[in-house]
Amino acid sequence: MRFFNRISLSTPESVELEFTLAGIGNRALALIIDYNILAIILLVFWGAWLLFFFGLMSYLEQLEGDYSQVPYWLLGIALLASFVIYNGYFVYFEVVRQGQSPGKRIAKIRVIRDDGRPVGISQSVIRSLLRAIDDLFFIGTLFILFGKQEKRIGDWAAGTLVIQEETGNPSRDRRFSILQGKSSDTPDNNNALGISKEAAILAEQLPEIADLSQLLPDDFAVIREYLRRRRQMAHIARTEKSMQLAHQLQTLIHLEMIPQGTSSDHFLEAVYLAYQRQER
Amino acid sequence: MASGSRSSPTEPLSVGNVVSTGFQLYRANAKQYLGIALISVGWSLLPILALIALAIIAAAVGGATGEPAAGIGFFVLAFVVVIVLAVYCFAKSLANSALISRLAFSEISNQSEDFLASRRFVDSRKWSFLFTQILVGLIAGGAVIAFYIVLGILFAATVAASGGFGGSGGNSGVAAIFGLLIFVLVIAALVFFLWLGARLFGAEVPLAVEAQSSASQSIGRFWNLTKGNAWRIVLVLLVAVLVTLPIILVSQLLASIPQAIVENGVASGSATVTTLAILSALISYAVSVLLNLLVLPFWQVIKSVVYYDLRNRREGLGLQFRDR
Repeated sequence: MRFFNRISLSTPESVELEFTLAGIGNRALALIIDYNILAIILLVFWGAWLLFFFGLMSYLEQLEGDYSQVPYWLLGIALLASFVIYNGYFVYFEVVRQGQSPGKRIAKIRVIRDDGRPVGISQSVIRSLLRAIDDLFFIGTLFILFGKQEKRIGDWAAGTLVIQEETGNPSRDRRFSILQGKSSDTPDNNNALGISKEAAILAEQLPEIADLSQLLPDDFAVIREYLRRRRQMAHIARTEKSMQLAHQLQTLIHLEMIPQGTSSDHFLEAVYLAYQRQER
Repeated sequence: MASGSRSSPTEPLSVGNVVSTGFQLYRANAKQYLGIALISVGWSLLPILALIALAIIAAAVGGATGEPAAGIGFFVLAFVVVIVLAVYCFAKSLANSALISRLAFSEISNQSEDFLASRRFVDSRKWSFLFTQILVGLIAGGAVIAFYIVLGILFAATVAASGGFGGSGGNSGVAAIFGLLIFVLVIAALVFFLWLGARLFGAEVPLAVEAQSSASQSIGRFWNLTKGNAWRIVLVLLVAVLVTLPIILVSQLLASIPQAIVENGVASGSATVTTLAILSALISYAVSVLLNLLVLPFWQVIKSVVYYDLRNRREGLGLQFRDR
């Protein structure tokens, strides 16, 4: 089964793009973060406003004239300002940061238009204004949970989608560069993967003693995933996994014998390097 | 997640994606999971129903023989039997909940297992599930008791420092320090209980999934897997609670209806108040059972996804070359 809803769009330039929708979990997480930030901002605002209010009133008391209407005006202005802060927060960040409020940025999701373009002010304003209705009795949650495109009412009205931003996989990140007319083809940083010198030496010999053409991009991705994550793994499990992958890989690339004195980790690093060189 | 055709996630899941995956799994298997949840809840309700039936029978026996003592004697004897049965029912209920976790795990890790085989597997471990639950309860209970002991000592010290309840001649400075200590303790305890909850959250899942496991091993296994991941799990719990809020809200709304009826009844005096009160309590209880039924599979699935993700992170479970 599929664990995430996907959607494929064709851009105005008729480029076919596939996206993974954000999912209820990421959207809930983003909302929790955004509302906490907003709460702090509003708290600071009302604190500052109260200070200003008492300061102004004590000053006005020294003057002559009837200022009894002033508190109501000030309250009205403060309420209006709160409304602007609440909506402005989402609109500002979604427009300036290409569809990402701070919460969405942390949850690694972003808002886009139905046709894949970045959101504009009008879409963002509609989403933001309808947020109050979506929050009422969690109507928006139900829409996201049971709709195929995971759109809350604000998304339907504005014609927007919320999608996952997939990092760590350069081939997929290219989609955003297509949209933004930029190119971003960053090769993996081999230093960050902790590749050793022994592996680099072995990688030189590998193309002669093994059949690297048997490796598929998916296999390469598995090796890279392992190298990237091995430091977070539990010690015993890591050793086991490394041995298991090395043995399977040895069969895959028709290597008769792993050169003596090579650890399974070094072997995996070497295959990674050799494959990478071959691709260039 | 990397490609559409791959069904088991290879990359670790983000906090939000754990919850989304859990929900998708639940939605795809809602019928099956709800059926199992119904059995689980049914087992947990059985002892209560038995007790009610017993009370009625005891009253009847006491009434029929004309000797209330006979009824009471019968009730006491039967009560002991029901308690013993209740332990069995509780174990069965836990085993059925664990079945949902097992099914969800085999689906996410792409190993299909015959449903009856799964059922037999969890059923054979029902006493271990019960034991796991008791152990987790003891750990959590121990932590709570320790917290209250420290709190009690600090409170007593505060009262003593401020010169007893009379409040004369005490050292208010020292009392303020103790008061601050209590505040710090409460915050620290809150953080600690969140952390502890995360590390014990899916303590029974290894028992439901892994071939070789006992109650204490299962708890230890989950404890080790959660090392360094506790706060991520706390966030998962937070997000999952938020997602279940709509259901909780609806159920509270439903539960408030009979209460309103009771208040109306009291106002108009149309029916005896006690009858209505009992009726409303029953309906509220039924609603809470129903809510439990809906939410139970969700939490069991979330536990499985968390467990799968932990094993992926810590042991590279999803990392394997594709078969050709």
